[in-house]
Amino acid sequence: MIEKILKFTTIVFLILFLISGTAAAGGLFGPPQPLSRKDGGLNTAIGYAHHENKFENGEEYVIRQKQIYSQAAWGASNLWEVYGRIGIADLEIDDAFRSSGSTTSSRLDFEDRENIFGALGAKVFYPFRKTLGIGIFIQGSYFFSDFRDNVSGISNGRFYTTELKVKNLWDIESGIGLQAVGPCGIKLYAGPYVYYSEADVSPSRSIAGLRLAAGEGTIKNRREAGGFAGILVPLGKGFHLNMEGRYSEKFSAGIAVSYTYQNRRP
Amino acid sequence: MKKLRLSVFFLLVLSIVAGSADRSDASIFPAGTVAPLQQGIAGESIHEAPVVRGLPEMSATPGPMHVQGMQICAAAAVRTEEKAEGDEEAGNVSDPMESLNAPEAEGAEETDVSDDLESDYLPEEGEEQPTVTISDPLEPFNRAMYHFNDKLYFWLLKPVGQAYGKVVPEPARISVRNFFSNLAFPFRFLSCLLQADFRGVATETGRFTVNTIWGIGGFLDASSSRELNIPKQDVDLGQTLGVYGVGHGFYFVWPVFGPSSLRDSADIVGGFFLDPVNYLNPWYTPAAVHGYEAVNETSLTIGDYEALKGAAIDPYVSIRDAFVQYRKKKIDARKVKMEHSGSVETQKK
Repeated sequence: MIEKILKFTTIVFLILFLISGTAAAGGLFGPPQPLSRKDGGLNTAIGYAHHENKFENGEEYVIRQKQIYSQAAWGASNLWEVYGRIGIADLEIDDAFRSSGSTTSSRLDFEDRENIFGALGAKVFYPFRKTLGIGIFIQGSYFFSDFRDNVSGISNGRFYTTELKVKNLWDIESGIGLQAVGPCGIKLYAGPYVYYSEADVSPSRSIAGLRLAAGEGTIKNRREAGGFAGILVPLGKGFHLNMEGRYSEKFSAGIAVSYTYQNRRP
Repeated sequence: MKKLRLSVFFLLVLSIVAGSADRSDASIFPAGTVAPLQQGIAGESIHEAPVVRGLPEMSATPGPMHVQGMQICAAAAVRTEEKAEGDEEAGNVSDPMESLNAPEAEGAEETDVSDDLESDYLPEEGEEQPTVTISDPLEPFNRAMYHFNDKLYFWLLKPVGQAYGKVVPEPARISVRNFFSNLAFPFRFLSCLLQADFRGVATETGRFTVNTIWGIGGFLDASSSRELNIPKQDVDLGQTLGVYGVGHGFYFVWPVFGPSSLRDSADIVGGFFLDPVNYLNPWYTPAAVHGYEAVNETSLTIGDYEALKGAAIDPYVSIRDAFVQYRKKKIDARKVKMEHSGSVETQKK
């Protein structure tokens, strides 16, 4: 029975990894079961994630981010955990400055360097067998400063230059994960998740004919659901390697190395 | 305007105190921060042995700086009680010392060496005890500086540290100490490098990496966990010179920096260039950061200096002798370690 479940989980995991991807800005979801020690304690992690998604506000935009973050988590009983993350991520929006009509633009894509983001999350785990369990999590992230990029061109026969700001980029995600423990303590997990993310766009000067710079507005994710799968490999001495992929409309993937602190007893 | 000048002066004073605190053990018992005495110094006679009234009460959870102060006190107590009551009493005192080893000595891989280093040398009856002395031609000046540092501690650092300690919980203060200790990595790294201690270089690098990444910028000391056990290298530039045979020169008490010697003053210069905090802008930021570091450190070590001072008739002499012996012990320990690693390399060849 357990072998079947393991096989099933592995297949789901591989399918999700091969077909899929996606996600939002807050970093990896991680395994449903917390890493903190049974009697309570701290774990920390460093992670990297490549994130892609589709946003819309009448038209579709592919957004892309590379995130690096540091995490501190506290949990107990291997059943619950709360965590906070702080990191940096850049932002690319494909075809944000694509022009139409008589308007021309010097470039097509919006690009800005890394900004700081913070994320908070919590997860709860319920083991229903020795090697199987199910968990639920919620996490949200927020970028503390604006992304900015400039574009110039000709509109109605006149030269223009404008700065586009992407402000208040935030997201919230929640999901359910099924986890199976394999040989050597390797954990495989997969499950569905829902999410919502949005940001405000604001050009310093509205340019008719420029997609995102035509006026103030809000962009948000096109789809609200996806799937995720990952693997957690113990590296020894309290370290774990976590790899994860997500998919809703685009593929996202990430990797993290965590360290679980050992409680010191007098 | 006067207030501004006064504030700037205090900030500078605090910055200098803190700037030297973590980088070097050679010059850190300025205003109350007592220089660490790694081992008990039983058996080592000094030319002017201070009279010790009693051993200060040991804290249940001593931090590194706390440890330093207690070590020096315990050492002084051992020395006196040996003379007065014999070995039995001295043995009682040495128990807490076992838990107060320097971080470097805690390394599992260095057990062989550290075993040698940690064992207190107890001369047999009738055997002449080695004398450790230092020239003190500037004694009047040094005594004046000692009193200046003493007042600086009791009038400024201690009250501020006490107030700070009441507001900020101890775990948070220890995290701050960890952060500054992690920041002093270049100092230890270079010292190991100059001593050709490449294992120490690797250890320090690994420690810095682990603590920076998984210790959240160094606020947590993941490297010292039982599982990782990457010990902090107890090295400094003065010690490096000592290892290569450079003598003390003469005793010198720096205002604010505290007891030092001509040789160990190298730490002050080295620390200025190797402390990343000193590169912060604007100019007063390093002073403010070092001031905060000093207050934080003081809040964790309140009582140590008082215990030492209260235990000796002439604290100036006690501190001078303890300093000299501590530095000697530290350099000797390093020499033994290097010789040991050298012999291991030779055997491998």
